[in-house]
Amino acid sequence: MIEIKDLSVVYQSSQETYTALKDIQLSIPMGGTCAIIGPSGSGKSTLLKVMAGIITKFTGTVEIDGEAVSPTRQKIGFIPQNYGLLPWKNVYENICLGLKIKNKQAKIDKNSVDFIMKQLGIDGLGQRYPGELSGGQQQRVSLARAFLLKPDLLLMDEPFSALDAITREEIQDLFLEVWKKHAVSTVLVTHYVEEAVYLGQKIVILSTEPGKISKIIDNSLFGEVDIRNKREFFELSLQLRNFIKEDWSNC
Amino acid sequence: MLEKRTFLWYLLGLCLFLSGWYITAKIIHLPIVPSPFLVLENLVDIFMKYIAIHGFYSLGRMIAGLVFAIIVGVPIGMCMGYFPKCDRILAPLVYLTYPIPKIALLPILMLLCGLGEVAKVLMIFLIIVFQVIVSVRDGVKSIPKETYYPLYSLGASFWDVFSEVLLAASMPKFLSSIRVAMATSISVLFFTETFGTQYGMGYFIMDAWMRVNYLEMYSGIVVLSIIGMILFGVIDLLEKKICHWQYK
Repeated sequence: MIEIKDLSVVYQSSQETYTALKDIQLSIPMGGTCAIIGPSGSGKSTLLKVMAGIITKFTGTVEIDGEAVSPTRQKIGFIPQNYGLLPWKNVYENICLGLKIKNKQAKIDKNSVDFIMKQLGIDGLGQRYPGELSGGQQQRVSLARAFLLKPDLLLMDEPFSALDAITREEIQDLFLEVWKKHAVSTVLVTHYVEEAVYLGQKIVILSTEPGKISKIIDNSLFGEVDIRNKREFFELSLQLRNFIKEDWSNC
Repeated sequence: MLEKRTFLWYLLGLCLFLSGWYITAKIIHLPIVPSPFLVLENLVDIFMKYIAIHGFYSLGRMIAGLVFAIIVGVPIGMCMGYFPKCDRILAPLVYLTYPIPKIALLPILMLLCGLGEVAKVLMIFLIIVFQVIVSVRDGVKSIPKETYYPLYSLGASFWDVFSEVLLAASMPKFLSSIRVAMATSISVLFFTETFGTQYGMGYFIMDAWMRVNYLEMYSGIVVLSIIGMILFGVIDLLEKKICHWQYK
């Protein structure tokens, strides 16, 4: 269980104070997914960074399985918008980097790396460098790195937004497929309503100034087969979109 | 294959240079510009006997100054790039001292450190170190913040960040800064070697000049430029080995 209670984040600069997040209450069951949707300036990325333990100045509590969030104690995978691959390491080394940092001296089992690369369809690219890969391939590498870690919590910051529409759907499907096998608790930030409906068991809508939760939806459609082509999918997406339009224009 | 082609380009450069020199010598037709072939002949004759020892002294001073500048400059540049506070404190200091013509400090260095090796190595160090600091800092600063997040979220230590990210990311800018600084430091080395030493290419060339032995003087100049070429070649080679990812 990921439990966020009374979370507020205030940025302090020399001229002004800025409330990025206010009174966030959220709980995500273990092994579930949660999609966060919000306009720019609603503190989506801030919320993600708090959960990643990158921002430590906040009030309230953020706990994973009853323990305060801490990058050293828990395994937290983070996929930033630009995938966070290191251009000077080849694909294989990039995938191993997460484990290398987390487990220090532990040897990395080559078979499990090969297995995860195969699952994500990037077997044979091990010796390539990120600069030689397409956006979709880079995204696959960053997913491989994250899943190899078997993290307690996986965080993704607009992970698919830089991909073209067709590749995005492909990678979303791939993500779900691999996610089902590993059952990793995942929080992803997105600004596509359809993506949220497709990937989020829970959908959280944030509003801006200051960033706070305006609605949490338990998505009953999540995980159904071929859901993208179903009427309910469009209806829920439309409903959400209308809510968002109204909600965000009030801010 | 690639190495062979590079070698051929170097050879072509050499040929162009020599023919330019040859034509100039023919036109001027005075002992102050001897033909390159006479110079090369003389160089082969006296290299082992007289010049090699001077060449080694000069190369040694260059490398000592360079290593010293890297040891001091890289950590400072990294800290300034990574910790904004460090940059705020040190940047004004660096900017104030960077533009000082280092050669103007030579008399002071010689008074403080004597006429021996220390002053010469220190001079080269002073020329290279600022370039290294500024370029390593800028290299580290240009890393997108997002690159660090996956590492931070795994509890990476500073050492992890340093060895996995900072070192590699700043390497291309670092190497080109060395390349830029190298040319200046070779000319300054020449100047420092005209004082208080019996060894070094600077001494050799000036000595030959005083003796009006132009063939020896030009031999010395050729050796000095070969030393430069070796250093540049080594840097190019290092860049190809370490920074090949840049070109992907």
